[in-house]
Amino acid sequence: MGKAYYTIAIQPEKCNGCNDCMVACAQKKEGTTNPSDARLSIELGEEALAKGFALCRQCAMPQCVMVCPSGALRKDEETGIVSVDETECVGCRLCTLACAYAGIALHPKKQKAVKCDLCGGDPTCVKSCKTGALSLVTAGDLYRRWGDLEDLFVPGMSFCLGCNSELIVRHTLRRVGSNTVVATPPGCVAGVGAVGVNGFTATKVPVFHPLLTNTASMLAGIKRYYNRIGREVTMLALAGDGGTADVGFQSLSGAAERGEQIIYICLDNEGYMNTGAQRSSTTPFGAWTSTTPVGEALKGKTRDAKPLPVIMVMHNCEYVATACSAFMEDYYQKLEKAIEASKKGMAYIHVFSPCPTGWRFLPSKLIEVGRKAVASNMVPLWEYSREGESLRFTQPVDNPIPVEDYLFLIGKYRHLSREQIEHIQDMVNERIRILKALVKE
Amino acid sequence: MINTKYLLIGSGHAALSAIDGIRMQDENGPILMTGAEGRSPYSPTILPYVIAGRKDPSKTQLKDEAFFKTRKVIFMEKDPVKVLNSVMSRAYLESGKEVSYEKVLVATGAVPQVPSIPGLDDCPYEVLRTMEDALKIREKAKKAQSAIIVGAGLIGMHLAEALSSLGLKVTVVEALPHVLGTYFDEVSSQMIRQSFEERGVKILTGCLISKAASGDGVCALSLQNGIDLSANMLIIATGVRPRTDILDEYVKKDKGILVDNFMKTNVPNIWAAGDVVQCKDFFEDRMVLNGILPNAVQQGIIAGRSMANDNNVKPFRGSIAMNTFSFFGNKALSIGQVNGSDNNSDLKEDIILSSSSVRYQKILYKEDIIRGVISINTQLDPGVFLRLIIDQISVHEQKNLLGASSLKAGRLIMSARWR
Amino acid sequence: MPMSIVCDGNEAAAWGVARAKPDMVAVYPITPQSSLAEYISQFVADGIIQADLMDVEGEHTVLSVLQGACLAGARTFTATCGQGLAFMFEPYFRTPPLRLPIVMSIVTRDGITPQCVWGGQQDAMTVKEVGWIQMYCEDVQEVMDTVIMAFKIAEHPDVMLPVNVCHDGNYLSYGVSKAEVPDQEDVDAFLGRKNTNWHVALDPERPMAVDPLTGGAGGAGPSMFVRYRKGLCKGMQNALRVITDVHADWARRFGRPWAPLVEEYRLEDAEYAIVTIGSMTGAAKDAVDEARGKGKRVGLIKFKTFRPFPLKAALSSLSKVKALGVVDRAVNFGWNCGPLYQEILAALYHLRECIPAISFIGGLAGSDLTVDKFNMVIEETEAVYRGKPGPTEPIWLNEKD
Ligand SMILES: Cc1cc2nc3c(=O)[nH]c(=O)nc-3n(C[C@H](O)[C@H](O)[C@H](O)COP(=O)(O)OP(=O)(O)OC[C@H]3O[C@@H](n4cnc5c(N)ncnc54)[C@H](O)[C@@H]3O)c2cc1C
Repeated sequence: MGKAYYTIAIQPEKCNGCNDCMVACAQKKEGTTNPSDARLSIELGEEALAKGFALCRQCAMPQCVMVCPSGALRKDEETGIVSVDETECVGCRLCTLACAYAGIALHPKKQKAVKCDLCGGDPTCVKSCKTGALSLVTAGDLYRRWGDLEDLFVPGMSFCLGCNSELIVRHTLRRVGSNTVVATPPGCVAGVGAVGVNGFTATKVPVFHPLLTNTASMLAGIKRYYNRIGREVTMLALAGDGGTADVGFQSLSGAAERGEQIIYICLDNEGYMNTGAQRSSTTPFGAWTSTTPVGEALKGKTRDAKPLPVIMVMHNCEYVATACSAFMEDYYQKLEKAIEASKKGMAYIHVFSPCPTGWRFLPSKLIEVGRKAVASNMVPLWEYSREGESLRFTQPVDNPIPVEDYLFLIGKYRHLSREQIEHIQDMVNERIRILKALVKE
Repeated sequence: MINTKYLLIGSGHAALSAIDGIRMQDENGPILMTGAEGRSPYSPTILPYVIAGRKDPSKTQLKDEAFFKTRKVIFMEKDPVKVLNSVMSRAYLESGKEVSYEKVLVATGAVPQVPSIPGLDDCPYEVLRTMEDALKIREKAKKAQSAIIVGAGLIGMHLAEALSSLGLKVTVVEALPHVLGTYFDEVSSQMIRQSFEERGVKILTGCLISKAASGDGVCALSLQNGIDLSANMLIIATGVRPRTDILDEYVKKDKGILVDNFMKTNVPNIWAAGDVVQCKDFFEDRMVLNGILPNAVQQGIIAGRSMANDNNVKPFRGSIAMNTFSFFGNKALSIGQVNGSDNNSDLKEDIILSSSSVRYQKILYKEDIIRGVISINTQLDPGVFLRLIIDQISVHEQKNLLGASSLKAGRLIMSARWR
Repeated sequence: MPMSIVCDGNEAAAWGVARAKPDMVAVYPITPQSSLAEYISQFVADGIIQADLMDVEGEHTVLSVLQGACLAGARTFTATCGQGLAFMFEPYFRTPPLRLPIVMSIVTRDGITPQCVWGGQQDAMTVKEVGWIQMYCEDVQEVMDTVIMAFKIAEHPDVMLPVNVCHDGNYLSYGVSKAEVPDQEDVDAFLGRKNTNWHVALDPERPMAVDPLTGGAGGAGPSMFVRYRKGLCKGMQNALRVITDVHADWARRFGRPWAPLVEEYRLEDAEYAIVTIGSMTGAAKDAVDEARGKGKRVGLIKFKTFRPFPLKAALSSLSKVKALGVVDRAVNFGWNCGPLYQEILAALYHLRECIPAISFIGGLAGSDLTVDKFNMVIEETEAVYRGKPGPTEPIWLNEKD
């Protein structure tokens, strides 16, 4: 348990549909060159990007193994490989019913279940793949890869216990790297000493305090000059929601319209948390803040949050995404794309940033809050790229949990009335409807 | 007295899955699992294959010793629980031992349901639930020339195939008008029936039994429609009933143990999973019995995680009928709702039917969402379709492709949804 | 060969910018600066200026992008006035302490309200305490020359401060006259190599944290803060010397000797003088000439550099006369007088004797400061010189127009 096993990962956008992997597999496993004999399959749909995969994920808790009535399937505790003992398989096909990845099927002649066994650890399909669409990775690989990157912030910054922003900014800068200029406008990230205090800094790359209002503009100026002198330097904003959606919005909007080459990350903790939890325009309806208090006459904020990421989609950005620290891999993939996109124009990532201190929940609940925000569609995770011209849900939620399952995890919503909850649910439904309208089938 | 944090009663799929569920969250909390039969865990589902000689009975074990060792589980193979005292949090074993637990999972499965037929009690009839049953049937079948199977459900039809493949002359008696009525619609059921009949299996549907008798190594049945049947073996396969006998009156039961979507009973430290429970249906707001293996596994995992206080465990989605069924080299599949399009205008069917061969496919839609699938010998990924149903994915654009090219369309839709 | 052109002050400023070869120019239109923004844009379009043209969404961003570019090493220019300057104030406020040598024209304009789009120096005078160097020009040629000189002053290692080149809206922005555009090679030689971020940079090759929190009640903070503040003051004071040197150098190279800080006009034997700033000086000089023709011993003192305040130069001129009439195109609401007047009073404190001075306020909202008006200024000043008690309130020159 808890081990990091290998699995074959697919990056669909890199696959050109050449079939080499399938031929290689068929050759190795069946001695034929017929792609349909392979234990993985990649089929092309009508659209260039649409591909259908059938491939075993070597799941951590493999359902195929768990439903096998014959004891024929097993996951090797050492290698993690899920394999079939053909002599023990009775061909009942319950395993095929248990697998949502089409990773196991009945061999048409033998009438036994067959599946990918990673060729024992050195899969031939991965070796045959010329485009790099297939790769052999472990879940642990990701963490190791992230861990190997240098943390470009020093330890011991004065973030609150369980701060989501700390998690995000450290990971972000690790990935974006040191050839970067970082802007941290007034807010939590700057407040904990990212730029520094009295001559000492906590950041190992160039970093500065823009004004709360001009983060995007200042970065634009820096970037333009480096472009002019032919140097490629990455511009990274780590800004709060106030400096992004409220008073900093004009400069952000202008920079997006002009296509400034910036990675702009908004850490949305839904209010002015650094100054003591006042309302911002991204504070959700009903939420308690110190300026939308709860009393006899007032019961928290009376307006819905400004849907900033959607606004940014309509803003000439090269890439826009939402993210959440409960889905780190998703975030890293988006960062990857943002880095690329920022070579052409603005890449904007709106990171949901639950704040244990200002929202009143236990630091240990941070990831749970994130998960439930996503599971309830309060925080849908999606990405939009100008190239793809479409919005795409990266963690689609088909059967969202009711919003109150999320809301009542958090102190700032504790007072909500039934009507307020209904309002929030309606708003969430409506926003999902709008987002879905932006998805190009 | 034995003390444990987790007590798992039963050693079937539900209990085994609960082990993994618990260990996801709680690496070391003591787990004790008790079995009734003194065997390594095995699946009742494998028994028809044992009878047919396609599976060596000594090789049916689902988990080996290493499994229990790495997961730090004490497994008492033959120590059935006699009574569970929900007030005291104590289990009293038949061996006289007592177990005091913090949390318990009841995963005792089901027992065959035998209808009351005059004279049946005096007949040497068989049922099929345990390995012992299977071995007995296998022994008897070696000497028998003929068998009557009462019940054309999944177990009955499995047995019919198994016994006829052993050379027995088999007659199946079913009260309902079709075979495998829970899983297949009229057309597909007829297709299956025809295959059986072509291989000499006699199938009598819509037949009620008025009495049973025996003598001279022969069992005889009289049907209400006047037909008399006799054979060397009589097997009753008319369904199962949750095995709730060990529970006291404080645990709420209806037909099975009533559980919520986290497999919790009304008693705070008692969970139940698998064939023994009665739980929410996926499509409708009602509590159902649905004794199938995939449900037992799902429920076991959820129960385990919930018992270990895993906050992120997703609730059970509700019970969905599903099965794979192989007969004489043909492959049938049924998932979800497969009937009801005639009297329910919401539901629409997309059918592929081959007149010349055994080939049939039906996808049942409610608007753009798939509600159910039947497939006989058509190509599709069962697990992918199951997920499309569970996730209620709107497939409006791909409907045509889904019918015509189910395998490809299913994969395209699912892949587009993955990261 | 220098090119002779006929142009207005906005175009002259644009030519100055062109010759200074900035890396980035940022523009946002506002009357009466708009045509300057347009000239610059056109020059960029025509390849006369080879800079990154940042046509951004507002003055706030105008200055913000320049700050960024400057921190990366760019030479930068922009222009604004009035409300644009007010909107820009937030980044404007921090440009001097960041020690960024940005050059910005203020095409001076009166403040609203009442709503007004005409000349007046209320905008520039309102922001005078922030730490920008401010130089006020008298004519079109001086605008062009001063814009070029401003880069050299701003980027001088002993200064490293932003410079406002102020020229009056309407009079100078739209007033046309002949001007000479210096040759590029000569300007290149004059300005030398730029180095705008040797002291503070945002550059991964020289990683540093720019502008950490500094201050607090104890520890290293307070003294560090004082060091920064004193450094800025020192830069401002150094600027007086540098401005003088740069103007001298300019005169040597281009033959146009502009008074760098304070200009004296017919002051040698003057008994009293009028004090001016900006384009009004032309008319004022004519009035002085007329009065001299009538035998009056009047002189003129023009302030070109207003920030830093050239105290020594001012005192040496002021001390030469016995009465002063100070003409402002803006209002100091706190002292009920003109802002230049108030500064002169403060300066006079350094002299042993008491020199009477009158505050005149005129030219507001585009109104004319004609020779007649200055005749009146001279008369009033002379009366005070002759012993008449001066008025306790300012005299509003266009009050009865
Ligand atoms: C012949 C046959 C064929 C089947 N075919 C299919 C099929 O094709 N597809 C499908 O989905 N499902 C099939 N099933 C159903 C499937 O096997 C069950 O749904 C599944 O085994 C349920 O798992 P469970 O853990 O709930 O119960 P079980 O697997 O029945 O396990 C219960 C365990 O509890 C033990 N136990 C009972 N009482 C006590 C006690 N008091 N103390 C300790 N231990 C106790 C029993 O000995 C048993 O080992 C079939 C069932 C049979 C009988």
